[in-house]
Amino acid sequence: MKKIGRLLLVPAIVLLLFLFVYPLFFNFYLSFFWLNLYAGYEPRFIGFYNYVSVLTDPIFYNAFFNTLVFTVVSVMLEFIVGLAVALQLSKLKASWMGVVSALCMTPMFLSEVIEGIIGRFLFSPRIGLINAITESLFATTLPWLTDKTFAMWAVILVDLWKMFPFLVIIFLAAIISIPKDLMDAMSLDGASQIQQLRYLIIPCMLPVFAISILVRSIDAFTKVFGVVYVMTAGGPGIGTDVIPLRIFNIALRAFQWGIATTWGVFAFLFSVLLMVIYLYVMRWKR
Amino acid sequence: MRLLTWISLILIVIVILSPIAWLFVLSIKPEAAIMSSPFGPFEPTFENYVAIFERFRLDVATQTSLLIVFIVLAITVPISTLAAYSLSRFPFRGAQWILIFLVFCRMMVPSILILPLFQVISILGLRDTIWGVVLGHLSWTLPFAILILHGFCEEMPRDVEEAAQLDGLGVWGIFWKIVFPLMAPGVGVASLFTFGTSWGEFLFAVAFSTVDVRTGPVQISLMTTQYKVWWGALAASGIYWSIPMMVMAILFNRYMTRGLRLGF
Repeated sequence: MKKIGRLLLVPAIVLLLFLFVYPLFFNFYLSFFWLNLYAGYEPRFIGFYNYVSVLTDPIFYNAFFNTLVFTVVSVMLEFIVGLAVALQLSKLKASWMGVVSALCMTPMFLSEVIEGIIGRFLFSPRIGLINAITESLFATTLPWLTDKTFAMWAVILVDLWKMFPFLVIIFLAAIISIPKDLMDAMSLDGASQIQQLRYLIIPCMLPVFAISILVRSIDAFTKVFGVVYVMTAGGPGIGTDVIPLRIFNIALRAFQWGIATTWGVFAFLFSVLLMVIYLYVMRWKR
Repeated sequence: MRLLTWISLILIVIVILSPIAWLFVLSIKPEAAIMSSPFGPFEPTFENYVAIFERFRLDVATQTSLLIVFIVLAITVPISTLAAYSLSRFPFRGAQWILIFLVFCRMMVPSILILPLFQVISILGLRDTIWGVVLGHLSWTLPFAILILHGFCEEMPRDVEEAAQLDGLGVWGIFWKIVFPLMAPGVGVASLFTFGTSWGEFLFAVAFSTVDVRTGPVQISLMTTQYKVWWGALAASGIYWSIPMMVMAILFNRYMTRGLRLGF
């Protein structure tokens, strides 16, 4: 009985080992080789040379920094907006709450490509909606997508628009699960809404905050690709270049597999660091 | 106070929905009108919707995408259902590590999987087929589906199963007669997420795309090149490709919400 039951896990484990563990070994292995697919599949062992060339490459630090900025700023904004909206939503009746949160959730399930297209329709220099609005209201246009800093903000704002509903859902569930009589008791004792927030809601939600911020950060850092690809293609110059996009370009545009796998190793190590923090926080929650 | 809540929520909903509404307005605008003035009057037209099928062959891409989504669903759903059931009901020493491994898979940097998978499908002689994209999509959907379904299983009562076991039902009997009906909503949620992920996924779809294998998002991304951008077609295909997801998000809102909470 138990044996058969445990065997049911085997197909999943085999597939996951093939999809995740084998690729990791592949990345570590190839990162010690010179391999450019233009010259044919002839890997040449070169020790740590790839690591030296990646670590001395300003493009690496640029991509790393951009990815970090994207992650930190967008998750921070998502957190603030998500919490504010969830707090407002929690005051509604259950039926209205469902309707409004359903409407809020629509962007979250769109494809990254559609997200990028919407970004271009909002921020493009000639046809963008944002510039059209600012021009008719304030007679100014901003260099969205053509200036490095503004381009990064444009990407961040579009991603904020798409992903903050995720935090609304998570926070709303956490707020609802706070016992209602505690809230009522507090307001009977004359506590203001701010005091309720400060002494009841926020303390109850601290673990949820920690975990959701971590999950969103890891997702933002490791998976930002389509929106940048479509909106800016990493530009202007390398102003919005991010690690997943650069790995893609080195691997499939330049065909430098040795360098690409070395970038992969660094990206992997950083995501492991984030994951260790995540597991630590999960334990602390229990 | 109530009024303030409502005003702020209505504002939020407007901010959230207006980019999609704007995309729709552009999709029924003639190309020339898109380029001229943003707020000027125009004659609504469906020419962009005709163009995405006749000129940009989004109908072929739709077929490719549907085929890939179907295969990914057919692999993900049974494997993850059985795995979640097994993990939840027949734990062994070290089962904790399997869960940690699943979280690890879910948090992997997907772009580092491209080259290894590329090599594997080359060795198997499957280049220029949909299998590269399918494998890539499985790396998204499988860990997520198992985690969602595991969460569902843990919330299910166990006493019925124990009674059935005392009555002499085997693993399969218990699974089909008792566990699966209880798990069905969870399986539905996992399928919805699998569908959504595979339908909209871009990284692996573009990495393994060839002339014959282009999913919808890849085909759409080709409407913008360095030299020319087909704005009308972009807007129309953006609306077209989002319709299934938006319908799902609204119809199955409650289930999607639950899945989101369990899978993270």
